[in-house]
Amino acid sequence: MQTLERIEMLDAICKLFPEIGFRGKEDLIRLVELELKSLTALDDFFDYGGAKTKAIAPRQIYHVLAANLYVAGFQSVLLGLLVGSFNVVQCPQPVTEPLLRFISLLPKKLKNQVKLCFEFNQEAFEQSDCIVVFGGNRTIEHFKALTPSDKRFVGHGHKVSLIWVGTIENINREKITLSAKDISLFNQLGCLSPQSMLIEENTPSTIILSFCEALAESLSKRSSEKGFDINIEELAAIKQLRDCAKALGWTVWESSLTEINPWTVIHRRSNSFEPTCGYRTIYVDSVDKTKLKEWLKPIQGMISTVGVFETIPDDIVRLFINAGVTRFCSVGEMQQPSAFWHHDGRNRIEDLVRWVDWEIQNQDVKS
Amino acid sequence: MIKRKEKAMEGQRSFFQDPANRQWWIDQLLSLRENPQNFESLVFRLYDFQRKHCPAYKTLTETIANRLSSWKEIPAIPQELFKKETIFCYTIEQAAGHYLTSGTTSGIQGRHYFLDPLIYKAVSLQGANEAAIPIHRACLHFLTESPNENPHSSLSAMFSFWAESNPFPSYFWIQNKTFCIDPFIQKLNLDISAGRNVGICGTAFSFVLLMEKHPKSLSLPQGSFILETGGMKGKHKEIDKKEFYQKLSSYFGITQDCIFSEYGMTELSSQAYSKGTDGTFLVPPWAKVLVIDPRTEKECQVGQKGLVRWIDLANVDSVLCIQTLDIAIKTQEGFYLIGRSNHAPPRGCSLSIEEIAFFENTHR
Repeated sequence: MQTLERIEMLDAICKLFPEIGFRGKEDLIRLVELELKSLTALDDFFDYGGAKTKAIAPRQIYHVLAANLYVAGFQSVLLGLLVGSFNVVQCPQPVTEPLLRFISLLPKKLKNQVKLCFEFNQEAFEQSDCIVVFGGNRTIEHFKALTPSDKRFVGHGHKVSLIWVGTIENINREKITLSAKDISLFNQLGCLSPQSMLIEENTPSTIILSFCEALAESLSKRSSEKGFDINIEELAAIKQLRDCAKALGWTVWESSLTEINPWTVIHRRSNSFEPTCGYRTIYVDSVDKTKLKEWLKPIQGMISTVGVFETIPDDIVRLFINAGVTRFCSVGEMQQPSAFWHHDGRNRIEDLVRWVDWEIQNQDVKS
Repeated sequence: MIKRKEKAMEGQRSFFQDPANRQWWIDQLLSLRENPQNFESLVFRLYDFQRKHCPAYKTLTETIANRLSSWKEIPAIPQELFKKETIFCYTIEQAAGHYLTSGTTSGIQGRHYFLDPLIYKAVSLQGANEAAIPIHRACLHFLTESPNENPHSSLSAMFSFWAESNPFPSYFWIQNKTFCIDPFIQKLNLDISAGRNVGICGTAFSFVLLMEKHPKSLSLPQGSFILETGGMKGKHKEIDKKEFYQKLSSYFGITQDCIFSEYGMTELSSQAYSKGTDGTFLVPPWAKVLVIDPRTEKECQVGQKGLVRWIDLANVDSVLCIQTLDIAIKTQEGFYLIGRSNHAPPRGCSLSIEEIAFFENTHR
């Protein structure tokens, strides 16, 4: 099956599941062209730097999905199908249902290219020539250790995202509303969910208080939207975070934990980053700009996205890049990256393939 | 006026520093079985002292304006706070020592400071007696380090208090970070052949390791007991409690009602105990456990699931009321512990504090 044929078949799926981030076949075509330099790179050799080259997709990809965010699973399988691989998907119980629905809606020819398993499948793992793992850093390390060096390994570990606010002069309610959207989506459990909003330390405390109050108000307005079920362990984590903040003398704005989507805003002056527990719990951190590098140290290399509230100075951009940030965007867009974004700073389909170069001038090559 | 207040506060602080008063406090706690009506007044006395002298507790209680009408309304500090702040009513220089939390999940250890270990010693001994654990009628084998090897382990300290008060020999079998299984089995077999009662006490994980490394089962004399504690948090091999108790029972040749479970934590001074696989945990008279609904902060009804909150009158030098993340079901007499909090699986792909620590430990 040629690339374009697969793209045609995936078009409908992209439209059925817009959360995957592709609007349709146009985006898929553009993605192949951007990352593989030619739409037919997977089908034929093409001219490349005075020679020819062709992208070879893995015969079989073994996907290990994370226990909650099913969207990452959809994306991984879709990209595997796009390059033409057979896909074995190790699927944890909480994402089984959405994944089964996703697979059931695939055209038959593509459906045959996906097999689900519900626990580690040693045989399928060994037969695969590419391993894609989503999960915590322990999970990534575990599967990396199991993968022989001749196989392609792509790990997407847990990451954290932040919002750069900088100095506040006026309370920009529109941007605060957009920030509240970024915080609320996926109940703040994703790697694109902001955990902290960074404010320059010299901002007057009265302005910070007004800012936090406005943020609390925006989160409150979203609290009746459809949410996740929050279990007792998760409620306990929110409660613990709030109580610790109060005992440490930080200012806390909070809703009742009896609400469907409880939210928490905590203002603090801290020396280093600390993640929240998710579930619409956000730190507003007053940070000395000159000490930002130190502040970011615990998450060096683990930052995904920086949402920019209004503007961000060049020196701060450089500092974030040096800390390993892989994406900047405006607030309100944090959870919806471009279809062509570099996930964890890497090309998404190019990461899966290997290149075969043909440098023999007097003989043409047919794939 | 201010000077008088400061003087009164200093007087209050020195009350709990005075060895004679500390002994009086111990006596009060140990007499609560006979005088349970005194519990509330002792709670308020200690609460009043701690909220003035423990800075973090002072800050927390200042955010709660409500007048307290019952000991059940005493504000709790989160257990996690011991990792972030000094929870102590005196200066660190005044502490006789501290115990360290395990840091199992996050790698970050909390510290529980104390002015002297005497209150902990008294309640550890009496707590075991209250739970009818026959610690004075058996040779005690502890599958832990001794306090000499691990002076900051509250569990080792408690076991050493038991050992000191026990007329029979006692042994610690983790030496130089190694579980000395062969010498332990040899000594145990000697005790068994002599028909001596034995008590084997250790973490659940140490028992799993023992049964794995020395699969040959044993037959303990009647009157012997097993005490397991700590669950298996953070270990890669976890087994169900029912299955675990069946294995312990058949491995040691004792009935399941000779197996005790201890539920305690470094941040506390008192312990709860249960007996057998389905046992409800009971606390001694100087401590109470409330099962709290985190949504409402109110106590759960019998049969409802909630979070364990301790009120421990033996926690004199830190804070008496501690909110854990452990999940329990309230029963008529006590509580049934479902699980230690850090069993909750992480959700989503956002970074957690545990992962930051893991990354730092493995990559830096």
